[in-house]
Amino acid sequence: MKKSAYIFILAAMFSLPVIFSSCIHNNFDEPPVNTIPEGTILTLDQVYQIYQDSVFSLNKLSYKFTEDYSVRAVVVMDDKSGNIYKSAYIQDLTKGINLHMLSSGGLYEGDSIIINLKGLVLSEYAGMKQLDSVSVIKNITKLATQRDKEPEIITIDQINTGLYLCKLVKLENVQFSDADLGSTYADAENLITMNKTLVDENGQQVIVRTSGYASFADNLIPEGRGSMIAVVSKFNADWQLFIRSTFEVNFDKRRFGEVDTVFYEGFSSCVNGTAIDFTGWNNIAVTGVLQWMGFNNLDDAQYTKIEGTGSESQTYLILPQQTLSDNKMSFRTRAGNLQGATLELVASTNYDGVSNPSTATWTVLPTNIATAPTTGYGSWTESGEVDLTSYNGNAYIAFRYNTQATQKGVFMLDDIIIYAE
Amino acid sequence: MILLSVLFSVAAMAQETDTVPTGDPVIPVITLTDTELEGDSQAQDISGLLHFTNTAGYTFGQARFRIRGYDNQNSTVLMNGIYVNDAETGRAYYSNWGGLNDATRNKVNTSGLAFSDYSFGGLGGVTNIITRASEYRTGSNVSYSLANKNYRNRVMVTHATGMMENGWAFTFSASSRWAQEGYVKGTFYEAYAYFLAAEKKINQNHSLNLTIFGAPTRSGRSGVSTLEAYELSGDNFYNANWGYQNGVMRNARVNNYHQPRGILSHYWTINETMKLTTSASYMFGRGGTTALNWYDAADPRPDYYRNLPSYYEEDDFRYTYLENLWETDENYRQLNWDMFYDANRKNLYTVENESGITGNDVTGNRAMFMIEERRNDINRFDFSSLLSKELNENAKVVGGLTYMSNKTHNFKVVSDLLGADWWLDIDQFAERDFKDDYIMQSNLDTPDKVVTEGDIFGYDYVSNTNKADVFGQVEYKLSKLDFFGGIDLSYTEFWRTGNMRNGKFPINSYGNSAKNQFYNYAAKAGVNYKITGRNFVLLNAAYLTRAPYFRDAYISPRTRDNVVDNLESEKIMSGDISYYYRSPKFQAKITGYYTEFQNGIKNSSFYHEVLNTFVNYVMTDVDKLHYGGEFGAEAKLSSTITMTCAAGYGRYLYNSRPNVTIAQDNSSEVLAENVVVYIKNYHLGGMPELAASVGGKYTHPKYWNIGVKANYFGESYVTLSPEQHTAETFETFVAEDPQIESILEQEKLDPGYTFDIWGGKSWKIKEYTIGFTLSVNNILNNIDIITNGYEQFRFDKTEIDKFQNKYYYMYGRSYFLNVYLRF
Repeated sequence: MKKSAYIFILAAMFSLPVIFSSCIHNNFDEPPVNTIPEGTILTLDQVYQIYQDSVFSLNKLSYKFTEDYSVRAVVVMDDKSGNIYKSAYIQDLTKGINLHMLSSGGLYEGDSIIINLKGLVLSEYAGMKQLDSVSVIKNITKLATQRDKEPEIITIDQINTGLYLCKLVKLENVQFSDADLGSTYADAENLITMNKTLVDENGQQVIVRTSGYASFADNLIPEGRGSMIAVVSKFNADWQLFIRSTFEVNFDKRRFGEVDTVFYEGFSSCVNGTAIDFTGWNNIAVTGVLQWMGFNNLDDAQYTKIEGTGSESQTYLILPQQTLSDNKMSFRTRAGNLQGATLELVASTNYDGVSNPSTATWTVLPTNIATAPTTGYGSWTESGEVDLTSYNGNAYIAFRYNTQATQKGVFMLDDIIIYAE
Repeated sequence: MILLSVLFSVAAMAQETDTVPTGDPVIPVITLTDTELEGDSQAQDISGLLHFTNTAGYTFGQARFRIRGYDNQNSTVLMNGIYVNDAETGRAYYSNWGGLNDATRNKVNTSGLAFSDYSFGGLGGVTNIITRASEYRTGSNVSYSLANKNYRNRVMVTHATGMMENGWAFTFSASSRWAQEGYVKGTFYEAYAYFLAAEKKINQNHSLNLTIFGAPTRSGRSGVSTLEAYELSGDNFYNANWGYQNGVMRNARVNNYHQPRGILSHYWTINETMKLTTSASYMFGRGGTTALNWYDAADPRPDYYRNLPSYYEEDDFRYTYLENLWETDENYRQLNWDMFYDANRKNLYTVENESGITGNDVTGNRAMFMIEERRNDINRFDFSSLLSKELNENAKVVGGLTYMSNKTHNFKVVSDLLGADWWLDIDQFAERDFKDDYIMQSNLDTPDKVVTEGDIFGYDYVSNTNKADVFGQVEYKLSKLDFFGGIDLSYTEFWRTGNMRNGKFPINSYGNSAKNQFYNYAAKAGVNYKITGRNFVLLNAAYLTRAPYFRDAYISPRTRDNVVDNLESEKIMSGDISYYYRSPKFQAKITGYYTEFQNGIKNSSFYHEVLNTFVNYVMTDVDKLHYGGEFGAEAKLSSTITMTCAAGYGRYLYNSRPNVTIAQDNSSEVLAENVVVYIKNYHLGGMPELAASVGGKYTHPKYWNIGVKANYFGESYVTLSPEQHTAETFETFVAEDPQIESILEQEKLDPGYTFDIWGGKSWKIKEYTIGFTLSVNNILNNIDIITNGYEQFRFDKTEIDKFQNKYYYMYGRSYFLNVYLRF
């Protein structure tokens, strides 16, 4: 009896789990793959046309897709940054459009997607077309990642054409308006969306709109000038830009009109009637004997001048060695009794700083030099902005005065500025 | 009941509550598991009812009653003298030996502060489960049980040899319990249990016993929801955890535990008056609970507040639309697994420089939804040695020492990717807040790691706890007076070992933290004054200090090793007085108690809606006050009829204004530091403060019996959210705003009553006994009794009803039928 009881117990112990374990679901069948049908592929241009047709022929302000139409596009802006919410902008080769999503997240910039339009409503909200109630799960299939669209480089004027609505663009040489300086992109504390004004050198303006929920809402707007990548959007009559990331706002240059002076010479310390002999400068006559002379009139001004008298001459006034980094320069000149004499702005990268300048290679830089009648003086003339960006690194800048035999004339030079923007 | 209200005018003692409150962040934990309640066919045998605790455990447990309002930490549970409460939390988990009812039936209960032969004990008493092979009734027991609660079927076999002539004794037990679906829809149960005890009597004085047991258990969890969800679904047991996958019900929250334990004990009878029992124990194994996780997708839980109509009260169209969906569409009301698969299978994503390896770009379907398993795997060694010595006929000394060394490995693993290729291991909350590639890393050593099923991710740390304890107790018994006294000294140390270098906390997340060390002492004493042989007065008092538990001490152990400021031991003082009457036909015991807890810590974390992250609320200087009375009586009206009554009525209150420190899991920034929480004199809540039961039992001499019982539960309050009780919350309100009252008020739940019946019969056929017992609880099927509720921690002061309270309902009619054969 006892033995059989043991056997019974042991058998029961080991068989129980086997007998009963099959009744509870442990491993679940995966549901069958549910592929979203493609149907007919439309371009965004065609989608816009459908809306126009709906408005004109059916007099309806929205259009609901009832068949399997699809659009292939690339996501150019997602709502990861918080600047837009439950929203995304997509673009194909023809146009861009705004998606109004059922929930936030799930779409990322650079995703190449196919959207099934069935059940979606195409409507216009405040002047902008949107596809409404898009579900990432139900409507969208991702075909590839990292297919980032390059932004189209345009001007503020071009935004107003409407051709770039919902597209990723890049604006160059723009800055925020003076009134916006010192403010943040938006009010992150109270979560209030704010508009800032972007201006270009022609004074054209466009709104940069930032949500108080954006991750960069509490960043100060950059004060400088430069390029910005953004998506073009619209609210009624107002065009507005949404930026994706502050990394795409590259305002690393000076604002319009503001410079950082790297070098300046106003000749205020020159000695009247004496050749310019500042430290580091060279005042060398390669041909003839002419020198750039100081002119220092207490009542008037200080500058340097050179005057040829009819014999052949070539004289360099060489500035101290400059270490240039994307710099520009300007200066003023005035001419008098000009009978063939010329003044050139030249630059060299192989001049050694002491030798005769004829041993080096000099290149003439285009600029604006004063002119004058053969008798009498012209007025002081601004050189305009001289681009020195191709001379980054160490270089010498010089003013070269030339006369052939019989030629003569006076040149005055002042306010030489080398600056960075 | 009348007696109670006369003797304990508890309500009159209630004080004015604070004007600004906070709360108990912990979702209340039931003292005894449902398994324990329903699994024991003896549960309805109230012969031992005089000990109030039995009724409290078995009958009131389903109403979430807790004896004297104490947290389960205060009850010491031993097995062969080995302390088995969890090291991290101090709680006793009965599920570790679930399904071993036969094998764990031998136990010695000491309630309250009374003298125990086995341990100094906690405030709530000591239970020592004896698993010595020779102590079991010789013979076999085979039973089958049919029920409708967590499980529906149980098969159990047990055999004990008794001490055999060769000096060996063996006891085996094994069981399985299962339910395709439990009482609550979407739940399931699959549990096995095994037990072996082998004892060898070496000689008259020495015996060795080895016990090995385990209970591998998988079960689908039920949920807790808001009244709105219960009403919309038309089900007070609505469970948001399940949904259909491919037409089959699947539960997202699955518990999966298997933590076997072995205990080797040496019993040494040194002489007639002195015994030494020494045990060593090793326990290990997995603990895990699965949960849904999702990335960059809408919260898929159907009862998330934004998925409920009430979120759209301003929007009639949405409201009606969602209301209709909720009421009619089970796929909306429950999880939609098929949708998870659809989403995951086409969510192409590229991770650049995966695991920090330059150029290692991984493209695949990134999981939007997945099932993770939050694991707490235990490795624990225990030792105990207990000496008892009878000094003379009247005096006894008990002393012992125990040692525990525990390591609990806490981590998450990817359990099911639901059709996706991988999950990217970053902290999405940190990603959103900081947009910083480093800060959002779970592990800086493997940034942007792609994890697949079975991989550890998210967090990974070990909690280490070592504790050494020594105690001594003396008991004197005189003719008129019994007296006992005891002291306990202990040393506790705990620390954290991080296995990941978290991006938010690169300095203090990896490696060993500093050790937290505590020296504690405790003393207790009691007298029993025997007025006559039938009248006794018992008086007990205790003062103890208790080291904080790991779980409370660390602000956010998942991410870093910071502990709360001024980490200190809790101080507890307690006293009770009882009058006990005993005659052959009538017994009664009435008790009054008073307990203060001081400088406690409460730590809880929850998802904060405004901050969008997991937030840890650590309340320090939490003082609590528990006082009240208990009553138990048993009258033998005849040789066959016995009447019983048990009742408890108390007040469980906060007794201080704690300080709360609020820290985010994903940020080193402390959101609030030592902010006063105005909750003094608010109720701890989460349990009835009044519970009473009256019953009768008829026992026929021919082996059958039947009983009935009526139960009443009342004075139950919802647990509080601290955030609703800080000065900051009210900054923006004007004084006469009617909302203030509504925010501050602690909701009192309606009282409830139930009726239970039970009965049984057995037949003896030769050496076989065959029988059955049947118990039916809540026979009136009252399904509208809310047993517990809690204020959600998240709170929006601009819309105070946004996060509605959550409630638990008591099960309706339930039965437990047990058929057995003994031989």
